[in-house]
Amino acid sequence: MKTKRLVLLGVLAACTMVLSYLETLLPPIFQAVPGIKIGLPNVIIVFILYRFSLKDACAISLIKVLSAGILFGNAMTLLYSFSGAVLSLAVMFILKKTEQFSLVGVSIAGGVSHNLGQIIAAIFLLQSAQIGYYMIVLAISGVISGTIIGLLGAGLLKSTEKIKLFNQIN
Amino acid sequence: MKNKIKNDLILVGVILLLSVLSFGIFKALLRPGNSVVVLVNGEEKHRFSINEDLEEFIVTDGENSNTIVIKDSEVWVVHASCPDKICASHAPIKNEGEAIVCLPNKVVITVTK
Ligand SMILES: [Zn+2]
Repeated sequence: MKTKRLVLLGVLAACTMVLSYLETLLPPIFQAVPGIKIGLPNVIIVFILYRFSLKDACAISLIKVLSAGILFGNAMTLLYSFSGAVLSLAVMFILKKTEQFSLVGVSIAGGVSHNLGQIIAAIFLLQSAQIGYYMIVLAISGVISGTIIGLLGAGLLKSTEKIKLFNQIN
Repeated sequence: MKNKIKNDLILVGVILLLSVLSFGIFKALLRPGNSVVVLVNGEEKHRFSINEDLEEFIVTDGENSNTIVIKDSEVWVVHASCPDKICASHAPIKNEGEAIVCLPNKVVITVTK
């Protein structure tokens, strides 16, 4: 089962790369601070968090941040996505643990904290707290992207429910 | 499940409330500023009075450039060498604490008291 699990995670890691690339083709959601994205690859991260484990989600998230940063970004966008990924994974894990929220709710909190993590990185990077002023835009865009990602993630979980391969991993 | 959706909605409400609150706090603290400070790489490079008009001043580190204008106690970016031009499309700023950020060029233009 270990090999199957590794192969599946490898394929999922590749999927995050494709989604990262697709995302570079979309217009920026937030004009004031470029480099901040919807986080389409997070669909896969949410899926892994639910279907696999936190450990796997962290590993794939790290691979995604590093490879997307090297391929499609620069040192700065790498720092943003890293800080966004860490905060959103932590928040999603905690909310999932409480069992009080649906996948969409968990994903919304993930989307908002993803943006929050990026803005915190920008505040440090630019040595300017003024960016905090944009929190409202970030919260709204985080709720919207989190909802989209949550719905897609829930769909993905449901559609893979009957696939044997995915049921043998745990 | 129904309960979870209710909790989701409460969560969204709390998030939006907090962001509106933080926006409101920032807004309430807004007062027209007196100086325009230009930071390059986080370091103060230029300081102007916002009440004295300034025609096309070029902020540059030798490689990248952002051209700023101060008029009628407002400051904005007219041209920039950055690829995204987001700074150049930002609305003029005039209040204490407001900022125009050019991430690619690592330039921050802020208004202070
Ligand atoms: Zn710019």
